[in-house]
Amino acid sequence: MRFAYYPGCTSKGSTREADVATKWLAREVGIELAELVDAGCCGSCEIKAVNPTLHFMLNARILTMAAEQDLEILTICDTCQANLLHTSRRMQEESDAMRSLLERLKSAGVQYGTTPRVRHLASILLEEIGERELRDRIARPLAGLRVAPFACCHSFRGPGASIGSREGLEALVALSGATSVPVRVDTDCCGFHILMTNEELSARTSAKFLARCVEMKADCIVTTSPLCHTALDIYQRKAESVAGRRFGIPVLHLPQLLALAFGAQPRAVGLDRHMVSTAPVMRQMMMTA
Amino acid sequence: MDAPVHVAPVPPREPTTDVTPRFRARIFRFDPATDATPRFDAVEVPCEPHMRVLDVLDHAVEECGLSIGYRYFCGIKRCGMCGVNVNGKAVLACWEAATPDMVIEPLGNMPVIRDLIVDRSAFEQATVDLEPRLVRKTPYTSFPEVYTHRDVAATFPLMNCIECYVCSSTCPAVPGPHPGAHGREGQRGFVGPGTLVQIAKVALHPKDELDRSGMLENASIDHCMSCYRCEQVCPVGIPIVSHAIMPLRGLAAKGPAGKARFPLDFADNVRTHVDIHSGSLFVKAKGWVRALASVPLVLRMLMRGKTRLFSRPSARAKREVNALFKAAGS
Repeated sequence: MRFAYYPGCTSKGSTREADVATKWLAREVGIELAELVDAGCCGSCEIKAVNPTLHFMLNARILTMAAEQDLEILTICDTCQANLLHTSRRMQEESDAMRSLLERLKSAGVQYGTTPRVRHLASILLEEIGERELRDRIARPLAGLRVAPFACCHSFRGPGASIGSREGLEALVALSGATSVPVRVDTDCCGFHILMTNEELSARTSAKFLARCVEMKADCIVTTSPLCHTALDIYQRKAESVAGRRFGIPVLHLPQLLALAFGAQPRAVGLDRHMVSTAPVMRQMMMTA
Repeated sequence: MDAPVHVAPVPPREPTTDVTPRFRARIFRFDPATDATPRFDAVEVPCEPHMRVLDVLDHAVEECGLSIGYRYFCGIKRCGMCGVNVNGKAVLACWEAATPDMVIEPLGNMPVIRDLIVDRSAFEQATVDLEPRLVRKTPYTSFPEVYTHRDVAATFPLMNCIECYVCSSTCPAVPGPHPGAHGREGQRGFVGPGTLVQIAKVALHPKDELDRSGMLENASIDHCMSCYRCEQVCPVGIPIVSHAIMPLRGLAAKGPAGKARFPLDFADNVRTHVDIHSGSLFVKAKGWVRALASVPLVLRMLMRGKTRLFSRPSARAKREVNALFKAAGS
């Protein structure tokens, strides 16, 4: 089973542990990853504001890189997933907008052919490997670990939403043996996309969710987006200073959580790279081992 | 709203031969003039086919004798006055099906006038302040003026807006019950998606000739978190982020003060580095002084191998991405 792997910018920079854990997990379940090197940024939520055509073209180039290898795309970031999926939907339309995009791509030297399927790692695990096989591979069930799943807004809302993404995350958390704590409400947002423009408001937004995690006694958060991870983990101190209280909630990437359940050593999947200590998760695991 | 609330228990059912299914609702009650804290009144309403939340409220007043304050006019999803929160979801009472167990509360992000009636005037004032009218300087080419569907493609989906402000009530970027309040240097708090839809109707119209970039950047449009919550709750299904907020952010990015130019900086960063190089984007967006203040955070990130100092895109990738920018006219 081979996929074109699009890690996204953040997983190659400030959340490299997501990339490390994905590669560990893929090896374990027999997924071969052909990384799309130099694929570039998908434009996040910014480029579509100033030039929607450019936004689609950047994503269409990434789709073309996978199509040239006749591979489907595997993503590990909900925002990249949403942008690529939205573009793939646009490129499959029979519309003037799509034909205009094709012409511009051609003039830029991109020969757009077929549209590859784009799926998040979580969907591929559930749809291709299957719950039964995944369960068989659990070497260390995370029983007793209370996990607050946090799916990125872009995974279930907006033009690039994937049906069943939230439920998929919860199913994988349950499969790891951990207890899913329903902390997230619909108005929650991690605030990542305004971190650069208004750090304070971003911190206030993430603090609401983090505070509820403490109140509902979650041991950790698990997310399918490195961008949400950035806001909740790297900027958790800022959220603490805005809220005037300590949270200390570790934030795991989904592949890290599954890798731990599959028996990975914490350092092998980058748990030592987090800004908020993951020691409480380790302690909980040792107690139940 | 954060004060502890008294929840009246639903009285136990008395033995009866009536087997009609019943809906149970707990309804938010609060009069700031007389009540210290909010409370909930519980009612049971006989279930009827096609029953709406509005019908439950009517029954609570007419049959149960509760003097609940709520607002509606048309009852058919046109007037936009009956927004409420039902089980945490912002909806129109006239268009939401009643369910067996409901908690009915006022919309968020607005002060409560009484019970389920909220004060929308801050949002409405923000809309008025941002000139929601077509401003044109060139004379009409003909009368009536001819438009094609292409001319109005950008604004057409926005025309369905019923100005219910349900979207703004649930927006995480709106600063509490005083949206659009002026802060430092004339900068407003985020005015909310409902206001921006009204402005986009005219700002994206091909005949509008007012430069709105300055007022939009002062309306903190760059505080939109792109969470798409507004689109999810919009009772008439307007793609608010994609069709109103994003294009307006594009206009605001070119504003004279440069307060909302982050999308342009982001695009420049992609053009230069192919992948986002967060370090240089951080410095560009925040300036050197604030970037220096973040040195401790950056050092901690470096110690954990969480950032890269240099980007190394291949010459080919840079060439290809630059060609895309050129072909897209950027």
